[in-house]
Amino acid sequence: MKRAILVLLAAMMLALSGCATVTIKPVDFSWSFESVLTADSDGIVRGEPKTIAFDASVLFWAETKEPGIPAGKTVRIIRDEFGYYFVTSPGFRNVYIFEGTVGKLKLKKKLHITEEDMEKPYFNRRDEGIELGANGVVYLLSHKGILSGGKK
Amino acid sequence: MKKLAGFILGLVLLLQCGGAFAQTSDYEIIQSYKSRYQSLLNSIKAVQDPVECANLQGEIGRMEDEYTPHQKLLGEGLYPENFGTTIATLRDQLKKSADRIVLVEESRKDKVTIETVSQQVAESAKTIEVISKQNTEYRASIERMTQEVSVLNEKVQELSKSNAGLLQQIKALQLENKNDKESIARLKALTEKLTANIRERDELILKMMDSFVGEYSKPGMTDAQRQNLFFKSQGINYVGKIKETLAENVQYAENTLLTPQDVNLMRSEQKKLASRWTEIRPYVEKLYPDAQIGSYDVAAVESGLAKWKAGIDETIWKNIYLAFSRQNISIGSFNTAAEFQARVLAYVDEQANNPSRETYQTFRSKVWDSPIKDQWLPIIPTEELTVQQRTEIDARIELWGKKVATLLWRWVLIGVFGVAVIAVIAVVIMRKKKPMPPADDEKTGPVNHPTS
Repeated sequence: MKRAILVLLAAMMLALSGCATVTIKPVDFSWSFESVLTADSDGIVRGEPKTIAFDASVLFWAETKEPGIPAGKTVRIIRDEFGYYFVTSPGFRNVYIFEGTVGKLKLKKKLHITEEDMEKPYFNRRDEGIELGANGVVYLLSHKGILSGGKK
Repeated sequence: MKKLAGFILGLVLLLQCGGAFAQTSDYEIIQSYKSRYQSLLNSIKAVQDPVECANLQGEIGRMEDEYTPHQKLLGEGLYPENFGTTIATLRDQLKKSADRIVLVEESRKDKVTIETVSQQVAESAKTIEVISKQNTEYRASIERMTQEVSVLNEKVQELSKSNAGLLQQIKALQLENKNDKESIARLKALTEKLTANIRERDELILKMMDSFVGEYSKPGMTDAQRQNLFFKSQGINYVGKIKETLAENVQYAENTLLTPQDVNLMRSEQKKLASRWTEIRPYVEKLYPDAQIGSYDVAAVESGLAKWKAGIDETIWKNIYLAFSRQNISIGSFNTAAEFQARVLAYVDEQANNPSRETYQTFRSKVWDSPIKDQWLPIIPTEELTVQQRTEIDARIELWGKKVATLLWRWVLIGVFGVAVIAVIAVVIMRKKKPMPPADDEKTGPVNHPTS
């Protein structure tokens, strides 16, 4: 009996020591292509399949400074290889870069793209970073800022 | 309609294709591909025509070419499918649709065949029903005609036998040439009986002919069935009876003294029989199993009809001749209207040259006015003895009459003159023989003369 208890304790110790040390890298968090999500009546956007869901109202308030629920408005979102979320929407002038943390998205960077409202913005994943197309101009973005295109 | 649908489909796909070229969003490329894929798949599933299949085949090829550069992106966007599997799905579905169309087409053909066969079966059933009905009627015809032949045969046979006896008796009486009242009455009675029998038999024959036409002219009866009916119902007996009847009618016309009314009736019967024969002749000719016998019988019937007609004409002229000879007027023999007119004119002219009142009166009252003009001439068609010929005869008879009248007046005048002369002579003679009457003075007494 004693022997059995000893074996079990040894196994548990080995397992706990393994959990603490296992690290997987590198990890590519990037999405192959953007998600185009439409806010529901509560302002929530949900990815299909359900990759992410968040309240877009804060985002629209941040961009327009107008309170309210952005029901029916679309949000274009893509994730780069480092796991940052790039978010924008038609009518925005900025791209918001969020970092995913426990239960929330934390703004990492706000990239000012243009002085005009973006009409039909879109994201593409590229090897060099995230491509943004808007008002006939193509930008290359990273979580650090605008790599090329437009005004840096 | 299918071509228009194909055109619209092509246009829609082309527009979508244009959209794919214009945008650069990977998301839009994936979405447009998915949309085109779904649209094409729906079209492939709904396709109904092999031509449309060919168009869709081409469309799959074009889509494949167009999206091949985005193959990798689509591989991720279409997960768990990929570009290759979706294109394969389209092709596979198109093959299934093409197979379905072939099956539908075959099924449609099969359906048409089934419908055609069903229709043929229904028609055959209908034909069988019609044939069965015809056969029933046909059997009834055989039965009816066989029965009729038997009954009519018996009756005709009976009448023919009776007629033969009557004709014999009439001939015997005619040979005896008795002019006594009893013999004449007997002859008349026999002739009347014979005439009635002949008419009855003619009616039976007409009835047989009607029945013949009725049975043989039924629609739907084949020539073979008609021949069989003719054979089974002893059709040859029909024609045989017609021949016999015609032969006996000729004898009757030749051997009996008929009244104009009898002749008229006989002529109308002859016309009826001839007309009915014209109706049945086409059937009869076809129905004889032996064409040679058929031709012979047909010729015999037609010859009988012609002889009968000639016999009737002959009877008329014979009776007219007898009307003359009974009054001891000999005008010579005649057998046609022209001969009759020539004979009468010759006789009248001869008499007019040597007119005799007595002869004229006899001719006029006992021969010409009656029975010839009032009884016999009306039954002679004007085609035979024309109105002009009749008028000419009348005119000559009138002339003869006038001559007789002139002669009469001459004798009357002579008689009157003679009487007048005799009267004058008689007066003269009487005057001479009569004594002289006394003088006037002797008559008045003595007269005293003065003495101075």
